[in-house]
Amino acid sequence: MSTEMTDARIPASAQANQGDAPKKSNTSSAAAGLERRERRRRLLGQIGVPVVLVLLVIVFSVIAPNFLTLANFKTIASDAALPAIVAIGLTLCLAAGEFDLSLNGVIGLATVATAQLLSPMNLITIEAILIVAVAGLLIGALNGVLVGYFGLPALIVTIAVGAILNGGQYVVTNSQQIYGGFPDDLVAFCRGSMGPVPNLAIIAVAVAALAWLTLERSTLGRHVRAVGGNPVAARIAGINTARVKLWVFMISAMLATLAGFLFAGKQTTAYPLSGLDVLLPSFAACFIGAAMFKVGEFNVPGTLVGVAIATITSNGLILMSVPAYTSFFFQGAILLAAILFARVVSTKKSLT
Amino acid sequence: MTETATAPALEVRSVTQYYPGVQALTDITFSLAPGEIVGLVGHNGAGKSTLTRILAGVEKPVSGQVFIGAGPVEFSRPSEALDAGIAMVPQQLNLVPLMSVEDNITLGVKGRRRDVVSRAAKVAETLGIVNILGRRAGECGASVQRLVMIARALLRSPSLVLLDEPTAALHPSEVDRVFRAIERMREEGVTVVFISHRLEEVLSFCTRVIVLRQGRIVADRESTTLGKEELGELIAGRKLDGVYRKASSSDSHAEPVLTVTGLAVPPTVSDFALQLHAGEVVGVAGLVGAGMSEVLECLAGLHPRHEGTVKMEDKKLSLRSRQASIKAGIAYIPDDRAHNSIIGNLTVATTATLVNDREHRLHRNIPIVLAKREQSAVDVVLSKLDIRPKLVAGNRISTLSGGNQQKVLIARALMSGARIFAINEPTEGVDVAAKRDIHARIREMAAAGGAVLVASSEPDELAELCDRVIVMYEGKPIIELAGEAATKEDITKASLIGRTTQDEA
Repeated sequence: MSTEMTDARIPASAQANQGDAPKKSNTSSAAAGLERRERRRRLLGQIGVPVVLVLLVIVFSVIAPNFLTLANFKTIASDAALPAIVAIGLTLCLAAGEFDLSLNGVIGLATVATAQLLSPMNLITIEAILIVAVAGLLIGALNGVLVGYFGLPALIVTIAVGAILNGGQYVVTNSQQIYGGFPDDLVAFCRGSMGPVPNLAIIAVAVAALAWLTLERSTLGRHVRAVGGNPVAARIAGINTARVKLWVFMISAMLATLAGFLFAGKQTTAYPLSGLDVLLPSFAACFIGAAMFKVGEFNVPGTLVGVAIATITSNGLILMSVPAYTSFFFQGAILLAAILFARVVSTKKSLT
Repeated sequence: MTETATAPALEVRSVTQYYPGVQALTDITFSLAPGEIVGLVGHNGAGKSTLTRILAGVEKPVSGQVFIGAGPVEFSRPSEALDAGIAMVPQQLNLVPLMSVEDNITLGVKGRRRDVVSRAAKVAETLGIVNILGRRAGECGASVQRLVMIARALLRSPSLVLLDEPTAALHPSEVDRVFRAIERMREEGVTVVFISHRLEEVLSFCTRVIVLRQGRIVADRESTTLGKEELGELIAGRKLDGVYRKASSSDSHAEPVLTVTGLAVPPTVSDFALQLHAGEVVGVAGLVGAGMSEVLECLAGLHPRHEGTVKMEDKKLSLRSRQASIKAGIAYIPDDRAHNSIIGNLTVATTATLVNDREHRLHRNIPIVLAKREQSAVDVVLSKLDIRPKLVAGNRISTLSGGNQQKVLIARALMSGARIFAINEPTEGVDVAAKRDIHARIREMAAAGGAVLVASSEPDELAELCDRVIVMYEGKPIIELAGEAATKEDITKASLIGRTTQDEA
């Protein structure tokens, strides 16, 4: 946008300053400088985030005991997997220009529902998966219908739905704590690994690959990016924008449900509000990601790098025996830093 | 007038303004007396906006001077003009809807709050809006919002107020309120410049009318010596010899592809009818806001709540959504490209195939689009449309010039396989060369058997491009001009005065 403005300004000022050669060259060199700065900003975005990631690894390798070990990298991969799955769902939502703040509620409900179905109710794994998946789909559909078809603001709708789901967790569990009694193979899968790679990380990579294909190559993904880019133009072009929003909220809720399900299998305990708290880190990851690869656009590879940065930071801090509550400070600070950075490198006025 | 003896409120001497490639104003000289209401009229591009921008301090003229009272003034920013007593009320309503009327009036005014508020109350009283000061601006009707904007200008105690199209968006019944307010202002000695396309209002309301055409003043006359007819001619720039041929509805032997009857989009459009044949380009002319956009948007399925019937050949269409309209074979290219068509983060290729990607998929039923296949297909179409530089399909659409963006949208319309093309303001904001190109492409659409409907507020565009032109006035089609009869001047005049010489006779 600013390059266009510069182009437009040169002839105008050249006209006004006819016969005023020094001024004229001033303007064009100023324009060239503007363009240089613009390029530099983009470059900063392209390489800035990976550089931060590399620096983090180097710094923690030096100062955190046991950071640079294979076992620790397995831990990081395993810890990053579930937040990554959630953040990927959020990426699609943000790419369509919408928020999903109900994620914590969805994850929590999926976790306690899984536990309740498998342990006290003694269902087999596949039955639990089906029931939890349907519930996740319905929650996503509720968000999507309210935002897409009723035109309500996503911010409020998803906060409200998230609150309801938090309450729902007490109903599902009867306010009881559940531990043990999970099918052995599920627990083994959630905690196991294939060679050096944790199973959960493999699932996360598969989800990421599918999400990338969806967002960058599929018809739905094109429509998602169009709606996120300019909803009015997308509608006039003939895209059913309400349906696109329904889809992204369903995908977002489904992936959160998947993460919640796997979390239950990994923890083997559950009680109300015991789900993963990944709302802030997910937003941070998405905004970090929007500052790289495709500058100014939410994208799946960028989100993965964002998740890696968040996970490595908290892992390094834990290894350094920093008190656990400090993670709140870091979560907030990383999110602020991410949107500030995205704003600085993005040529657009605003990301959302 | 007796005031002419006293010093003028404002004097403009030989003001000239250039833009790159355009001489926007040439040697403009006039003066305004205190307490005078002067109409400033002219067609789009005649220089009205440039002149008001200069008076309001938004831009500086290349040469010439503006005098206020005795001395010359030079503004380098709008606040300086405001300090000198020139207030501008823009055409767009720009109130903060959630704030009260009072807060809207006093917005940004410095000084002790109590003083400002009491002055605001006084101004509001003269305008007759004192009893709604506490109401939210968003809850007020359009005419009241206009009055609030005028109040905001009056709070600065200006000696001159520029009103840009204050009645354009108002229903005739609301116009009166605004006029009474203007009259009250005049009584207090404020000079008013009234810019409008509505000639009747200008004539009945202003003591004097200044007519601009192609950047020059072509008339500066007492309004009592002018008729609407003559004023229309002055604006359009042609002496009419009374032959105003109403064209017959064209080739009646061919079956129309599209038949529209009794189309109404309340409250803007009523009684619109149209027969569109394959191979012709039909224009819809009129002033901004005369309902052309709504007619096209309706065909595009963007006004689900319209009345009337639209038939394609013998099949009645239900245009309840854009999707339904696309399915029926209607392509639409909207006006206001930046807002309505360009999605800046998409590539050229994706823009062109956004809702029509079946051909470029991995497999017809697997919705994965192959970028290469899509880009080469788009490149083929774009090269036919003569886009320079070549092979841009992989670039972001936002990197293209306005003219090329418009061509990509034309490519999208062509690739959709539509039979009917509705194009709204096809050359808005594109350069002259691109304009010529786009016109040629539109003619080709028709030559290839398409039926094209073009809406434009530029009469010369339609005169050049169309086989026949339907002129709209206040939401109704009032005349159809075919072939030779569809000249720029006749379209302009019909758009302005809403009737023809024949009707009068």
